[in-house]
Amino acid sequence: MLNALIKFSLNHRLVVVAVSAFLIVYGTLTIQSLPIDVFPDITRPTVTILTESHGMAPEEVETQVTLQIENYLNGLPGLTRIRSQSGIGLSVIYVEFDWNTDLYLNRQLIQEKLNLATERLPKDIAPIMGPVGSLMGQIQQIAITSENAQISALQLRDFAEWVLRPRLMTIPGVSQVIAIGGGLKQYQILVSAEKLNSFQLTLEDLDQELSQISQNTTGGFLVKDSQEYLVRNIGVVTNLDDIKSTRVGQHFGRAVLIQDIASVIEAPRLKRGDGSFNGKPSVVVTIQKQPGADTVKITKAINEAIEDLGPSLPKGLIVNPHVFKQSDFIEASIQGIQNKLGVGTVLVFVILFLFLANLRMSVITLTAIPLSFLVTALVFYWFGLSVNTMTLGGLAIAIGELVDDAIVDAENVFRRLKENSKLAMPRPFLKVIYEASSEVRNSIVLATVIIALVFLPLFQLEGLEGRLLAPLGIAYITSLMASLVVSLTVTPVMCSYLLKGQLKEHSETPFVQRLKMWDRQVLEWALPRSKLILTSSLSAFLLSLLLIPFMGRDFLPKFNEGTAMISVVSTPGISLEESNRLGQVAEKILLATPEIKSVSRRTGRAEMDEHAAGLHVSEIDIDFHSKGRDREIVLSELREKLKNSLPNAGVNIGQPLSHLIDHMLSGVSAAIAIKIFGPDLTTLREKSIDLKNAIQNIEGLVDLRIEQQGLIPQVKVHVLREEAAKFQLSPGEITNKLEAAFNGETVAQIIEETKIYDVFYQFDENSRGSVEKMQNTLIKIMPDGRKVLLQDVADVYETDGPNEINRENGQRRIVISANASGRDLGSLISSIQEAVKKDVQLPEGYYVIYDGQFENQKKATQQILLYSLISFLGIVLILWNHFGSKAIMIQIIATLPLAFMGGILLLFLTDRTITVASLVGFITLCGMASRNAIMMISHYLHLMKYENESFSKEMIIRGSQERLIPVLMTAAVASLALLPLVFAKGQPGSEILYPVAVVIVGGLVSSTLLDIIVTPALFYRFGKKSAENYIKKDDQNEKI
Amino acid sequence: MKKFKILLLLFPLFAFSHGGHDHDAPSKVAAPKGGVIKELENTYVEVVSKQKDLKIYLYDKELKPKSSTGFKIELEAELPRTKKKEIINSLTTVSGFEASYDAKKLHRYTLLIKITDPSTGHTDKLKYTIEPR
Repeated sequence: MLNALIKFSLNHRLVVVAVSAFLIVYGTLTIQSLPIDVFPDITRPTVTILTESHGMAPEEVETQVTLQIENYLNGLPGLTRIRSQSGIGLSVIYVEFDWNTDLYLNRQLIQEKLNLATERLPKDIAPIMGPVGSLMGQIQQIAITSENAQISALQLRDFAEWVLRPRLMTIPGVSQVIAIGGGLKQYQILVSAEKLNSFQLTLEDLDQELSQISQNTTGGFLVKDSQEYLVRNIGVVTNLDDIKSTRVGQHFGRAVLIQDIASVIEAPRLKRGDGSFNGKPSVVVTIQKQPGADTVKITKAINEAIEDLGPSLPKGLIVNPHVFKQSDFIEASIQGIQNKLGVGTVLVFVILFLFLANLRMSVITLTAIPLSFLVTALVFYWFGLSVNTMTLGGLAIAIGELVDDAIVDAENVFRRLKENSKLAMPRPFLKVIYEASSEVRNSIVLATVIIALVFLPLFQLEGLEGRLLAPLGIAYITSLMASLVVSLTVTPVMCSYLLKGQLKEHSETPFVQRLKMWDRQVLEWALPRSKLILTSSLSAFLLSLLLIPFMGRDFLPKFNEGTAMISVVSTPGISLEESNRLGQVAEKILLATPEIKSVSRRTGRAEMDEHAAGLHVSEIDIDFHSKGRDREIVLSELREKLKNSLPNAGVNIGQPLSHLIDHMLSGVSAAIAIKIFGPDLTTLREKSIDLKNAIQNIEGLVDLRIEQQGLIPQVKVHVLREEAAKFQLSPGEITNKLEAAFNGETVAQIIEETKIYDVFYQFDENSRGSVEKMQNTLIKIMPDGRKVLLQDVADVYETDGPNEINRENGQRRIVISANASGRDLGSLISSIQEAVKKDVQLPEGYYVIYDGQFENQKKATQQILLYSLISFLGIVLILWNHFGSKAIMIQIIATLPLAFMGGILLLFLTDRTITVASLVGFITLCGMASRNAIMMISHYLHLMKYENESFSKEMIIRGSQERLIPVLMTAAVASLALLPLVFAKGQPGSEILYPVAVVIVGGLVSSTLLDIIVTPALFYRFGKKSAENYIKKDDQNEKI
Repeated sequence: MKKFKILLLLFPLFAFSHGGHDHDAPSKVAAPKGGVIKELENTYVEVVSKQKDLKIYLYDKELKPKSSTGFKIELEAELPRTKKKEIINSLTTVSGFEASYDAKKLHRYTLLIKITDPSTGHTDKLKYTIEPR
């Protein structure tokens, strides 16, 4: 079939040229419309369920809301983990599904369960699902500040909510816009308990009257003078005066108006969070994108929208869209990789020209690069893949190999044409090209199949590592397959057009002649000493294995996002004011650091946010100047300063994206998550402190902190049932009334143009500002005129309670989190496990689980090793099937350790850490290294079969010399194409590709240099019998 | 003027008072045993209650366990509404005290601790709300 393809191409050369031209044009147009992102979509299918629970305490939220919903969710198909957070008035449940499940189907299944669960929840409490988002969803932050004292905090937030948000929500791809800070305007009716009392009105009366404060109804139609009039009954409130003059009761025949018992004001809604930018109070707006949407395009559209709003902004109001932009990281990363691809391509051209010294040959082989890239782009388009650092990385790794097939083909065609031209009776030109291409096509196909097979483990990887690395494999294999097709179609056709005429004059360059001479000298010496060569190679490989224990282990290399995120977590229960003050202390330290460009802070939780942070948590995003001290030094200095200035707060320094990845892996925004599970909260807190004390002095452990599940001050109103019964009051009646009085209730909405504001009522500060005042709240007036106060029916007292209760897979848990600094995760976790085993005693029913990046690294490594074994067996089978000889198969496989040796050595000399990415490097190396041996041995067999050579030293030297240039060229182009990545340690976008490139380049250098000697030596020593058998067998097959 | 002079004369007496801080204010440090912690001049006092059992732990300012040797302690349970007080007997352990109190069907009581620190000689009173259920 492959011969037919070559034949067809040579017989229809114009068709091949036309199809190639079409692919170039179509591919170029398509590549421009591909979405650009920094990484492939690495979002685990997760559904967030939010339940606002009317200011309930965490214990109540846990038992009455979270647990009820969790019970319904258990058993969902594809469910992998349920995590929950029960805080003050809010339950957040994260339902995580298997990576291969469909998010929309999962949401549908959850919605069905939520419908059932709602029946079991307290009245008026309804769970909702968070919007469909993606891990890389938080794409931009905008700060709205004011330089004009006339602009109030309410107006700032008003602009964010009613001007900016609606405008940004219309941009395609934006899924959510969340604002924090300023003040969300509300019309507040602040009722005086004393006045209510004096007018002898009860809470019940008030509640009933206020529920009807603002109502429009319809009056049907009125027909008059042949006209139909719509009748509208207007009772809505539109301003403060309307509210004030609304009747709420009757006292001695006189109407009691709201203004008689309450003050009515415009004020900010109760704040559970705040924002600041560069130390000044501001509204911080976070924009989230839909999964799969193009971040760069959305960011551009956002910036344009903000520019459009510019002229209409109130004077002094500043909208800064450059607080945090993920697109900066994406553009820097993509640009970096694109530059490296460009440099790689130039280096490939230089190598080709150096070896071939022939512009036409160089052009023929180089054509494979753009054609293969563009075909890959078309495949991306058809499969909905994006252009990202991983897919571009796959191309960068492949770039050297893309020309390999074309080199092998063109070089063979060139050689055969040269030989043909020397004949007295030259054979037909196209026939020679066909036979030359056909001659090498078996080894080309075999090598490509093996390369595809070694990548099999990558596609079997589950989890984040699979999502990240599979697109790299797809890009790599697709481009290689494309280059294979090019070498069988376009390359012979181009040879037929470009290798005419001048072949006689062309001879090998002095450089090539010198290389061949050296090769002969080396082989003359090495072939009789094959035992020595093999022993030394084996010893060198074993020595290189000894370096492995001296290398660290990590999950993935650290990203360089250009920004940092600092979490400041203080004692739970502190007020927003105090939390803001602590946040400002941190901001001051950060702004005094010369390397820091801007600082934005979000304290607590924004109104619509599914991120349930307490008031005691501040998240600070930092943007850096491009110049200045090393980032690690700056961060370590900041860590020290923040620790000294905020001794009672936990500080965690990381990067926004890395934080999110950690959160996705373990539910904790840190690389190491040690989880203690057990039933009792007090014991969990105690054991977490024991554990922290046991590990805190371990070297390399930083940002160590216990999840802030502490006790917060509470005021409890405990209804005394027997007392309440005396006044014909049920506990539910009392607690419902108190909820409205103390927590408040929204009774109506006022519409101002397109803005909608809540009308809200609750007791004023004077009526609920102390325990004593609360105790004196009027609950009921008895028929005999006696007033029933809260203290008559309830015990009101100060106590403590948990700030939040976290659960995972149905069990309560507490997390001790940390990061690693200056030490690899693998050894750090071992030290932690040892210390915990030695110093922490857990009671019955309690246990510890280690989670986070380390756990994923362990799983990924096991999977890679297992599937590598399977694909290795596949390779063995293919080689055996092709050569029909165990000895030849072993000789080809024996070249792999030669490659590993160099990979291990260069990794040891540079990164000194084994990650999932470096394992991918070794996988790639397997394919590349075996390719050279296949080419070399296939050529020996070809010489014996078709060129009447017998198995001899001279035949091996001839075969080796003839393959030397293609082998050296392919290794040199592959290594040099990756060289820009080897020098790109820590550069944005190159983080994961760097260790891959290091391993490949190291491996290619060692395997190529040793292969030139070891493969001929091995073949000379062990190959005679199997080669002769192979020729015999092949002849028999042909006869059949 | 007379009142002012009296105040002026009384002012130096503040020098003999100790601390000046509210012992019952919520603490800013995490309780090592997961209970409720309150601060004295030189000592932190943590109370952990589980049903009837009460455990009182003492720590120094670095939150390291402190020996209870020399500390004198008196415990009382104050019942809600009636304000009736009941004495609770305690046992001294190496790093604190242990006691047991059956609150019967009550949803809470106030644990009153009178504690004398041998290093300062000061006697302080602490209040803890205990919810036995």
